[in-house]
Amino acid sequence: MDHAHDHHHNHHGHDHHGRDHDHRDASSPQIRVEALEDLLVDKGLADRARIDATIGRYEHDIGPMIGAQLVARAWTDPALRQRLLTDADAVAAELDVRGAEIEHIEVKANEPGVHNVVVCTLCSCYPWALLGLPPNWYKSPEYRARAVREPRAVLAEMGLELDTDTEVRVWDSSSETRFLVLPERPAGTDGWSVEQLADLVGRDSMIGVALATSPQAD
Amino acid sequence: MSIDVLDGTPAGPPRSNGELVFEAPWQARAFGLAADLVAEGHFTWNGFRSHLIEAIASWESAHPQADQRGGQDSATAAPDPWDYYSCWLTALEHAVVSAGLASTESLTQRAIDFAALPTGHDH
Amino acid sequence: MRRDLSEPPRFAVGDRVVAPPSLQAGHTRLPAYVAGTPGTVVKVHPAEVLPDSTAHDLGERAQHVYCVGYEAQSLWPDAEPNATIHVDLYECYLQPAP
Repeated sequence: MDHAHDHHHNHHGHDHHGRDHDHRDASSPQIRVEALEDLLVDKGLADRARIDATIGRYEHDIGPMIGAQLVARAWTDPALRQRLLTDADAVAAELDVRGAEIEHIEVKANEPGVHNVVVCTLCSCYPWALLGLPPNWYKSPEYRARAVREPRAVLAEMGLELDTDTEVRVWDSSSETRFLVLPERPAGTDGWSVEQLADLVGRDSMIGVALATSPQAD
Repeated sequence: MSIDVLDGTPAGPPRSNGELVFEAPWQARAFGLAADLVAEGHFTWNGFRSHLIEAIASWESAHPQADQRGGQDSATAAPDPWDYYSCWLTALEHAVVSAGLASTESLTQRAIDFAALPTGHDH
Repeated sequence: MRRDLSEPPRFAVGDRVVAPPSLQAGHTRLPAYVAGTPGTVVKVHPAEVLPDSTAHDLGERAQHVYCVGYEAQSLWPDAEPNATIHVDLYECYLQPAP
């Protein structure tokens, strides 16, 4: 972790040890989480080393590159694509993709005339195993409300203008199923390797608020 | 821990879009602690999610404009601004208490004890 | 958590269903915006433990889960055209649409 970068994102007056210089307020989240962890560690219910390891995994190992590999493979392997669309859990199990969350994955393919977009209006559910933890905007009250209420407007604001004759399918992650969008393969990528293709698959394209990157647009 | 995924290619860092996974260390601790308690079987993600949904709904009902276009910007200026991980922490405290792992009083007391310590103390 | 249920699903793909608004209280996985509006079952998921009941210590009450599709304009008269909103709902949230 780059500490300079870390500081840049710190607006709350605490340093990289999580300690607060401005206010030692018992109701501040910094103190509350410190107290909670300390109490549970004292009781033997939680373990600092395991917590460190979990944080490290989500900061370094689990992220959108996992989903991007899966998408790129689906683009090059029609049989895998078919299985992914009908039983993504089985494919994920075979490939040993696991998240911390007990979750079931469904993959929704974009195609000409159909565009899929994912939201969780109740909280922030997201396919952790394939994309890591969600970005801030995905968790915001505004996206969570507006993605169902006016998805075209939201997509347009995020830079994706859809034709009016393209059907928008919104998937609200209300039960245990988590959704991944399979974007369309960009033109001009014939003969590309899985690794080359995976570089075109951004996180946002797998949430459905963007398309996969076109090679000429790069 | 193996970071090999799918066809054995090592995974790159998940921040190619320039965003950090956590914006402050306490957010990472709140996440990691919840994950640890779930992994140890003290409660389930699904049970935790019920508390998270309630914590978010409670913030939203107190900030009715925040779900509208640009609503978050005005909500950010208000007292008690939108903070996802604050909701997460509230949910975690509720999950811990309702699972009988600790009492509200003991959590409050521990927080008061920590707040009284000089800045930069060590455990 | 998924569970095997001996009872068959009450609804099938294509059925019209509605979540009555009166059910809102205590059902944490029922998004308010679909309550009272009829939708169409598009998929029957495997059964899951009802999260509301585990949160309130009422036992597991495993339920069939349905993916229900709603025309955006049936949810909101002024909604954008050509959009479908899909929500996964537990069987006890749903009744046949009149």
